[in-house]
Amino acid sequence: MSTVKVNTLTGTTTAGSIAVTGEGNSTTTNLQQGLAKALFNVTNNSTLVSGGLNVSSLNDRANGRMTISLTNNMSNTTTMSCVGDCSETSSANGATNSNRNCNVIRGDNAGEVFVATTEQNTGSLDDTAISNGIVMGGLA
Amino acid sequence: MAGKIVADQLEHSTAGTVDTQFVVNGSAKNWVNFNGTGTVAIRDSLNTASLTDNGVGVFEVNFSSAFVNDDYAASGSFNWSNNANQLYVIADLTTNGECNTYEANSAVDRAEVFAIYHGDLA
Repeated sequence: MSTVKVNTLTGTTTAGSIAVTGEGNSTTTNLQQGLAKALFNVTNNSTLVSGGLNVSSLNDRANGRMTISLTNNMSNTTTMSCVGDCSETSSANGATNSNRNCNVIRGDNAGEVFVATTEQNTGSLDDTAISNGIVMGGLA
Repeated sequence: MAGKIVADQLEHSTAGTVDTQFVVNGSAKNWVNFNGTGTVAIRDSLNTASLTDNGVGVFEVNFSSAFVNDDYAASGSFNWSNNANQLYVIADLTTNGECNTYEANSAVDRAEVFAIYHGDLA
């Protein structure tokens, strides 16, 4: 096994672009573009769980609405691609776990994302026990 | 290509070590941010050749580089509306994935649609 000990990976031609050979040994994918730029895990629409990536704070704006602030901004608001999911209860297999949707979308600026948690059967905004999200795209 | 590093691990001085299999296998191979209303328009993406608009709320994400098989993972999100929302982001073919937006069991177009696909490239 070989190990590269390094604190920063930088492309030589373009600093922010490194190609990684894919699993099929022929196609390459872009390292930087393929990495998640933010990860967050939230309890009760109010508390960021430690262990996230590139998230600094949470603003509980209203029932079922949160703003997650990023430590390092994305390049702009239009280049984010976000996903999220949530659970109504904190138990692993609660019968009501599935009655929530989580939508994560770009914020008003490149340093935040909006999260909406809703009841799946009614569509109404409501807080939820656990929610999490991933942000892809380019960093500033 | 200016150079190539062949290694099994990357080690940071303080943050720890990661096997490069997680870099290769764990990196998203496609993501896309698009406007699904009117003439569908990609805002930004990775490994997306084009989008096919197959009707209201029904889209295909066409990959520039194909996956090795159709067993890749898909996830997504879209802008919320005040009704029961449904989003289906699923693996379809090695060359494209499905991304469908619904509201109360009826297909609708949405202005902010995001999809991410993980898996093995061909």
